[in-house]
Amino acid sequence: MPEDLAEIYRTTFPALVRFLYRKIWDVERAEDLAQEAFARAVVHKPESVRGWLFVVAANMARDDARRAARERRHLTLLQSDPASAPAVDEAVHAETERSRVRIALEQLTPRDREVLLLWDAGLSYDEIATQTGLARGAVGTTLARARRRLVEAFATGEQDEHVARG
Amino acid sequence: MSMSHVDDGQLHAYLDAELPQAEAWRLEAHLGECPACRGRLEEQRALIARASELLALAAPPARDVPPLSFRPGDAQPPPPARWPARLPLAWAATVVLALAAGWYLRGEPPIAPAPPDRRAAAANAAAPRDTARTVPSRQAPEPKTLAQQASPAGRAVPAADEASRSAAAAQHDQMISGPALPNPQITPLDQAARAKPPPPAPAAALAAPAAPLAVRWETIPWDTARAILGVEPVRIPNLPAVAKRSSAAERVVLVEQQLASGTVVRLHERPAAEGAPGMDVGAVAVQRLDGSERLARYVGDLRVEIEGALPADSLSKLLELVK
Repeated sequence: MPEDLAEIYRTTFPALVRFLYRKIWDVERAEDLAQEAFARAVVHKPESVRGWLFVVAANMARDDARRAARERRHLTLLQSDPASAPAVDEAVHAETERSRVRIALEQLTPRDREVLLLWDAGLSYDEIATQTGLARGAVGTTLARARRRLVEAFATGEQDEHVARG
Repeated sequence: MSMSHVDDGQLHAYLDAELPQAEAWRLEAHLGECPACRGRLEEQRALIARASELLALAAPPARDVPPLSFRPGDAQPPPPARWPARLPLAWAATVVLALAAGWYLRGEPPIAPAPPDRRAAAANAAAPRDTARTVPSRQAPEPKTLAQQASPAGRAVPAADEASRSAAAAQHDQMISGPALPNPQITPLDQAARAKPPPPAPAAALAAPAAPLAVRWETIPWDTARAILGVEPVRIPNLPAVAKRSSAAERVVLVEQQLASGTVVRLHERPAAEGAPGMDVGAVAVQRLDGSERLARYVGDLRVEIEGALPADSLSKLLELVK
């Protein structure tokens, strides 16, 4: 088990972080949660480690989002400007793109988004079906819809920004 | 494919290389004769590429994979690090709870020799009610007395024992000021124990070297132990037990029971009439002395110490005995 887990860790950790990141949008937090998921896997020794990891990660991301929402409500008044140095244009651009994708992703239904993120994290249709409760045959259809909506929502966001800038 | 066209879901599954082989062949056959579907295939291929591109934009900043370890300060400490501490605690807690059940039974009205199954039922009823209660610990000025009681036969108390001593002293204060037992009437815990003569004292215990805080425990007959306490001393049934007493605390009876594995269970008991607080299984002290784990815990006024490693098989054996 330990060697197996070490190998799974090496191959799956980045995907798990990517998966978590697109849910909570905080890379350090995503890494913490991914580590926590692996820590739990060490204890629980699930049969299918990879699928199990994503289930646990999804749950943790959901809890984390709730907690973050609560904290935001409480801390709005206390927040000061983050001590970020003036970033170069490139970083600003990347950040803008990132937040556009984020906004587009958030327009998907939770199920569509989940399936898309799981696929992008490297899970197979079978694994996605097991995890979401979808029939295997429905995974392709769901992915087709999720991808189309993501691309459309992103394009719409871009247009809106151009219109707003005049 | 017998159907006229293919749907988007199939195209995506095909492009994702997730379409079952037989379906993939049929789909390719259809594409070969349907330009419209070939066009849609290319559309979907572009869509998939675009979606992946967008997701890549939203990827986290590239970072190295951290080693599979758990940083200090994480909200949840790593389970591997917790195991060594938790495992002994788990079995020791079980033993303590089992003893707690036995101790509690002595509060029962003295209905003459209760059958074992009845006692077990009473234990189950009594134990859960109070196990969660904890006693607020407070700092004690003079831990000496109890530390002496707690010290096993002939062993000097090392400096590392300090923390446990003050914790014990806090417990001791609690013991003295605590309420009396709800019902001081006694039902012997283990009828069989009466008939059993105590094994002879090991010579080493008597010849132990004197140290500032060392306490010598001398083996006493079981009858004497019963006379001191006024009741049958608490012990794990069906396991050899040695009753001991020290000159430093004459009203305390130490019952030592050795398990097959080399684990020693020590029960320090004083007469219930001298003040017994409510049952408390909240305080616990685990420490390493010479590489061994020792657990000291109070169940009412009964101090339970468990020392040494306990393999799983002897734990189940012990639990059978306690049952």
